[in-house]
Amino acid sequence: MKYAYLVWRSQWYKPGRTVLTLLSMVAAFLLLGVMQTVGYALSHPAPAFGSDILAVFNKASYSLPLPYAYRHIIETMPGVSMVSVGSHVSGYYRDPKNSLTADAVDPAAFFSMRGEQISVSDESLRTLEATRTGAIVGPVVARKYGWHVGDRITLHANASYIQRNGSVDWPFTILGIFTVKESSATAQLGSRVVFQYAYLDEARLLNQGKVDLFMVKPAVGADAEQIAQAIDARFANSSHETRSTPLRALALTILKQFGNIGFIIDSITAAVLATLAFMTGNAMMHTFHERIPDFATLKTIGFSSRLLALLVVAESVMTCALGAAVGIGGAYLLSPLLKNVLHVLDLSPIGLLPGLGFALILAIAVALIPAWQAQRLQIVDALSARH
Amino acid sequence: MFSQFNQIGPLLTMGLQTLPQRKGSSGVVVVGSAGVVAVLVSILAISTGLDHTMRGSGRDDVAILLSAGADDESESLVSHANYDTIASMREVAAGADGKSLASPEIVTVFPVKFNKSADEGNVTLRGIALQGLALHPSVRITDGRVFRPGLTEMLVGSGVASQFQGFAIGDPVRVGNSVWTVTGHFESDDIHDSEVLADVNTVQSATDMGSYYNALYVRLKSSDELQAFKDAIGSNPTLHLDVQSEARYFAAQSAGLSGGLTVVAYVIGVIMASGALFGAIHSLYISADVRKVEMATLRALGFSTSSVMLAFLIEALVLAFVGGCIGAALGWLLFNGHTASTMSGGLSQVVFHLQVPLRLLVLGVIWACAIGLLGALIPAIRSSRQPVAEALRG
Repeated sequence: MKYAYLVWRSQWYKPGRTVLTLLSMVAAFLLLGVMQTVGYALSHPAPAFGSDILAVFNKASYSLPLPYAYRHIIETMPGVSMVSVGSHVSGYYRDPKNSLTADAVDPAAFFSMRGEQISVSDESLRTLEATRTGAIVGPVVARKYGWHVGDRITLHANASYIQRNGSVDWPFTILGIFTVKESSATAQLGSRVVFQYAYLDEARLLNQGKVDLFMVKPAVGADAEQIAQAIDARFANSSHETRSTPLRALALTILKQFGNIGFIIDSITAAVLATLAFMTGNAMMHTFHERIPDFATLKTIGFSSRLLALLVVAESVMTCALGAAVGIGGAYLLSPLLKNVLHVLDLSPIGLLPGLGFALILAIAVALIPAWQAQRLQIVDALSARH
Repeated sequence: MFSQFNQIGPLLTMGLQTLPQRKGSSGVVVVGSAGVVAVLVSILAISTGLDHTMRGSGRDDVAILLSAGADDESESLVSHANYDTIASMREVAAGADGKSLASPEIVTVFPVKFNKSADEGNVTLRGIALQGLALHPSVRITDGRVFRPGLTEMLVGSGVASQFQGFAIGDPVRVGNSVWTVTGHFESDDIHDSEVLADVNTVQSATDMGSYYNALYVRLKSSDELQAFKDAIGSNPTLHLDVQSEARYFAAQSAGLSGGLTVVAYVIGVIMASGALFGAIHSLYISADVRKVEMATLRALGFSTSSVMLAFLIEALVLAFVGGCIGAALGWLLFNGHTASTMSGGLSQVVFHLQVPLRLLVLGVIWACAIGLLGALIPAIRSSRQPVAEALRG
């Protein structure tokens, strides 16, 4: 520890150069950090996807509906604790540029299942259940359009959501705004407009008695995978076969479909690192080389060869640690920004760890040759700069 | 001024001839700019290739009609009655058989297992009318034959056949409760390559669409008719349809996907280029330091300071240029034509080929030259400010 100051001072042997080395290292580790977080996120979906809740879709295509009547059959199956339905009406609000989708759900089941991520007051939930055209909206969409409780809004729906009276305009009264408890769920849930499935089904012309999907919550201790198989087996060979997947697995499948772009991102990361490691490594080695007479002086006043080698390694580790800390720290600060863009992803700081490991490897690799040179240094030759 | 040009020649020759003595610092400039250019070119190759596929062969004289407010085909719903009205409109071109060139289409996705893993991906099934093949001229049948109307037969795009299991000719393909037979394969260098084509009426009954379609594709007599066609539809109170040219529709679909990627390419490119720039400045500082005595000697001999400086700049530029060319060549060799796939808006897979056109190569080399010039500027100015006598002492 007593050599820390010596290492720190020799680090700034030529401050301009040290700053340049640090800056290019910061750029390298910033990129590494960002790429690693995205890479990690691509294989680890956000917890907002709700671990073992099952989504039950039409097997032929998730864009085709299922009969509502399935709900009662699924509810009586062993291990099932709760079933919620989901259908959506998509269209726009005021201007075709503002696309808006409203979800027709069973309000009580919906908010109970999403209880870990969002919460709503009991009072607004009760009013929603009593008001046919009522809606509870997310904080993000409410802020975007300046909606308040009591406002009446109209969703201009696409033609497929035409009503029996011939209109595609769906009026809603805003009864409440829910709060998002878990920040990683904001992008996914914050813009939801939730209303009663009963309203949708009695008003619409097409697809009556159908839902887009069921959400099934397994009872505590029940195996989600087994329930999924049981549901699919129950409806096999029926007119509407089902495909049940735990939300977590579903998210993983979706992420995997980003496909082999992942491979390209990996090769790019490797190229970035190799390039910048070569550049900074070269510069640092040069600096050590210039200072060989200094090392000779240290040796003359009694520093052992081994200590000298260690000091060289320590200095290199210090430089790399500094550059890596600032770069990876920057990537960490940037991750909330990325989170808004890639909202499916869980940008966990765990993704940053490999970067620190790489910094250590780089530090030791760069210091290896100079440390070896410092150790076998002949004082007389070095002092006369005949190295 | 004339003497300056005379001086630069020998200075540059000397500088380049002594390059092998400065392998480290000149290598840094070459490798740094090569790395930046390789990375920039390859990410832009992804977005260029994706954009090319998404825009595809979208034509100006083909109109696509969606229900009012729908952003894409899967959200749209058009009735059979609307189709009849549209097909008989004056602006619509007729095929060789005298029938109007209008194709009602239905898109749906179905899950299939990937070739290389046990995972499932989504494939788009597009129901088209037979005259639809004339509306999608990019589709070239390579193998087998077209599906027959009324039968559950399908024509499979090469992107689907290469990526997923069980799409050889004669293979049965299960979509929901129905089993379809593969009758042929086709190629097209646009989005349809990642699709499966079938008879629209068969798809309609398989998907419970009643008498509805998702979209109408219409060939106009000429692209000049588009505005008149739009006006005619807008003034018909029974039609609530949005009309746009196929070219515009696909460009908008592409912007969402490849536009984001282009931004990513430039963000990564700028961060990496700044890292490389600092590295280049650093190593050119070292190079200027090492050559301090040499440069001072030249100035003492009568070479003007500015030409010594200019020679130093040009030398760095040459190094960066060489690096840039290496990087661009690497990007081209590794990724041009490389097949990639990703998920499009509708959760279905799009297969595309990475593209490194000449303009990307030129762009890369320009970035490299900028790094070289900027990197050399500060060290050059600094060494030119040093008094000759002081610098000569080393």
